[in-house]
Parts: sequence; structure tokens; C-alpha cells
Amino acid sequence: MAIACFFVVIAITLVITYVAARRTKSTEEFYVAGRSIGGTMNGFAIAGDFVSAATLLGTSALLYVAGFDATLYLVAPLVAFTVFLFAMSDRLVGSGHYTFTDILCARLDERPVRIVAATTALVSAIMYLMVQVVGAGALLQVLFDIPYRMAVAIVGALMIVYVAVGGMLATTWVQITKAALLITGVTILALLVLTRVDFDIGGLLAVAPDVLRIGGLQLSTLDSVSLLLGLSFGLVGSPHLLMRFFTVPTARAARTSAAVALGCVSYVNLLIVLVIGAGAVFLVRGIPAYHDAAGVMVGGANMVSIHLSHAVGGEMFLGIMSAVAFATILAVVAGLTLASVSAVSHDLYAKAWRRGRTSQREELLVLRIATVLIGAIVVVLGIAFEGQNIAYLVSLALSVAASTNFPMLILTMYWRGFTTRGAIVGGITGLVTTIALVTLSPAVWVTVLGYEHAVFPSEYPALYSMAAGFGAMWFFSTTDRSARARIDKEAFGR
Amino acid sequence: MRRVALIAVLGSSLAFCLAFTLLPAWLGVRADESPWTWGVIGFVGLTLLTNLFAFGYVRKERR
Repeated sequence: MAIACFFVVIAITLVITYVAARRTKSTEEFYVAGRSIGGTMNGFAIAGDFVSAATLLGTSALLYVAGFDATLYLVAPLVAFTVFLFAMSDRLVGSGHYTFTDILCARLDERPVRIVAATTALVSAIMYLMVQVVGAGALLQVLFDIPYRMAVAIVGALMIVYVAVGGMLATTWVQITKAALLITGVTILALLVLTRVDFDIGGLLAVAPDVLRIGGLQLSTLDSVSLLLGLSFGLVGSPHLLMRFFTVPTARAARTSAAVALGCVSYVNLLIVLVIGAGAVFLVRGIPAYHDAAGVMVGGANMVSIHLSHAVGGEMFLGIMSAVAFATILAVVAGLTLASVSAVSHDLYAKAWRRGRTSQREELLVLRIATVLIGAIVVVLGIAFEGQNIAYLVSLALSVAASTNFPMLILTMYWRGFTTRGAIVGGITGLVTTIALVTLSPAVWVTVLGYEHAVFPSEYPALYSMAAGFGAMWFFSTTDRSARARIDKEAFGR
Repeated sequence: MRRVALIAVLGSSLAFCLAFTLLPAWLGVRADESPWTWGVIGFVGLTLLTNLFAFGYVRKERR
């Protein structure tokens, strides 16, 4: 059943790509689907782009293992979509914008700012892409019983086809399909769990008290704040989520997108916290069928919601939920690939290197070549990282986005005194600080490099790297007395 | 409304986040005494509050 669902998902997404490819010819259609997506549909696509396997499987697993602290990860999207809706959505919409870098360059000196912003966008998107691909390989290996390398190659090949052939339109519809599958899947899963406790959520939580345990992650106060800041503003600065706001025609549609995405994500998160996490503790914990002889969960803790789907719905529902998890991976990977490729073909090649003197045909050729190259690199690295713990890449990707992309964008939008010099020095400071702190943290310094003690004690660098990024942007902007600074300030609000 | 909503959601999210590290230590709160703990109520409340602000704002701007 799982294998059948696997092929159905692939078939549906390839048909979508074929149809989208016939309607995608110009660069505007490739990058932003011709700005033809409606607000509600874009909201579903954003939800599809945002909810990764890490949310669906990882958060359920974290609730199961560490208890209620896992909800910290689910508070972040509330903050992120609030910031999108109230502070950014109106200002993101505009003709001619394909990436968030275009918004910076509308005010600041184009070439240097584009190179810095495209680099930080590329670093954060590719790191996040790596995590998704390695996670996808491990997950598909367990879900569909296929070798890891084949699983990574399948995901890599599909992401290349979606983006190179169908562009943003195909990516959008893959994400909408995934969002619909995900919402339907978790609703049915939650209903099946609730039938076991006569629809009494309080009763379910009472029989699964482990899910309400506090302190399981053993976070210090500073770690807790840093984690929330990194997740929340990392999402706001994520190039793949920002890019989705360029696909709608008006500010009104952008606002609707953010609200609908928030509603979808909130609904899924509430079901995970109130029903699915507790259901897993109640119906999966201690059941021999889902554990090996040593008592370790088959496939690892990330499989807990998949095991739960088998416990309440049998083989058929297990197949459906496996397909939902697979669709989840494909949609997120497609969005990240498109964001990475746009940074290369649009920002670095067409605008920074060729200074806008390219034809649409040439830019699209570069886009397709970049898609194949990035896809191949990610597959090769994904295979090289097989079996390794690369969780630190999530922290790195989100912290880079929170410490570079987010401050550059929000200061460009709201601060008249922000200058090109501040953007460049601050962007580089945020990037370097994040990479240095993650390297010196226990996740890399101790776990990967094998040293006894970490130089930087926390695994959550965002609080410090954001302070460094914002601080450098403020300092080098306020002390900037150059002629360019005057131009930057005069261009504010135009 | 923009400013109120932003401050309310950011502030209550930060409070929720801090509560995980401060409340158990200060008050010795045990979550498993009742299923409807401050944690569950806080998370559900924060989610509903955020959605209320969001859809209220979209509706107001549409008019």
C-alpha cells in the first residue's frame, strides 16, 4: 500500500509539472508564476512550503521524547507569520521583484548588496536543503524500504524536474497538493485517535501525562530565548518563504496569504500538540510491534506518528500517511531549490555579474543549469552525509537567515538611516558570527570534531548572531557619511 | 491594530518561551497534575489569539 501511494504521489506531481511547464515561458512565470496566484491558494502553498517533515514527524517525536517543551518549536511559526502579516506582506509585493534581494537593491547600491544578500540566501537555503535531503533519504528508506542512496537520488531527480521544467507554478501546485494531503491526513489521524478515547481530549492528555512534562529539553533561559528568536526570525528571513509573497498580484492578496498560511499551520500544530503527540504516548509507547528487542522504536523516534497511523488505521492508513510524509518532503525541497537557484541565476548571474544585460532565454538557461548543478551537489553531499547527525545545519540555516536576511530586509523597509555600508558589513558580520558560533558549539566542536569541551556553550546562536548582525548594521550605517549613504537615505520610501 | 497585534503576539510568545525555563524552577510547577495545565491553555490561547488578530486584520483591511 505504501509503495502504491508513493507512486501515486510521484505521478500526481509529475502531471502538475507537465501542465505547469506548458504555461511557463518567461522569467516572470518561472520565478514568480507570473504573479497569478490568488491569496488563499498562495496561503496554502506557503503552508505547504513551511510545514516540513521536521514539523510533521520531528515535533511529534519531540513531544513523545521530551514532552511539552516541543511546543516551543510550534510557537515560532505564530511569531513568523504575525511578522509577515503585520510588518512585511504589504511591502514585499511589487512589480519586478523575484527575490528578496530585489527589495534591498531598490534602495541600496545594487551590485555589492546583491552579492552579499544572494550569498547569505544561498547559504541558508542550501544548508536547509541539505537537512531536508538527508532526512528524506533516511525517512524514505524506512517508509518504503528502499536503499538510502536511491531515496536521495529520487528526491534529487524530482526536485530538479519540478524546478527546471515547471518553475514556480509547478512548485506552487506541488505545495498546495501537499498542504491539502497534510491537512486531510492529520485530521483523519486525529479523528481516529479521538475515537479511542470517546473524543475526550482532556481524557487523552490525562492518560498520556508524559506529553505534558516540562523541562525535557533542559534549556536555560538564554537558550530558550535564542531558540525562539532563531526559529521565528529565521523563518521570516527564509528565502523560500519570502519568495512566495512575490507570486501574488496585490498587497491584499499577500495579507490573505499570510493569514491563511497561519491558519493552516496553527490547525496542524494544535492537532499535533493536543491529539497526535498524546495519542502516540498512549497508543505506541511500549507496544512490541513498534519496538525492537532492545526497546528502541523501529525506524527511530521520528517514526512515531507513522507508527501511530498504523496503530489506529492499519496498513492502508499507514500507506496514506507515508505518502503524506513523502509529499511533505517533495514540496519543501522544491521551494528551497527554487530559492537557491534564483539566488544564482537572477541575483548573482543576471544582475550582479551581467548587470541586467541578459535576455530572458539566457537567464532561463542559466536557471536550468543551476538547478541541475545544485540538485547534483545536494545529492552527492546527501549521500556523503549518510548516517551522520547534521542537526546543526538546521540551526546554522535558520540563524543565518535570522542574522542576515531578516535584519537587512526589515531595516531596508523601516529605517531611513540604513545604508549600503551598513547592509554589507552587517550582513557579513551576521553570517560570519553564525558560522563561528555554530562551529564552536557542542554540536560541531564536541560531536563532529571530537574535542572534549565546546568553546561556545550553547547550541542556539541566534540571540548573539542577531545582536551582532543588527549591531553592525546600525553602527556602520549611523557612522556612514559617504555620498552613497545620502542616496540610500533619499531613496527611502520612494 | 498592527502595532497592538505585533506586540501582543511577540510578547506573549516570549512569555510562553520564558515560562518553560523560569516557571518550573520558581514555582515548582508540575505539568502532569491536570491535563489542562497552564502550558496547554497558554499554547492554545496563544494560537487562537494570533489567528484572531490575523483574520481580524485581513478582514478590516478588506473593507
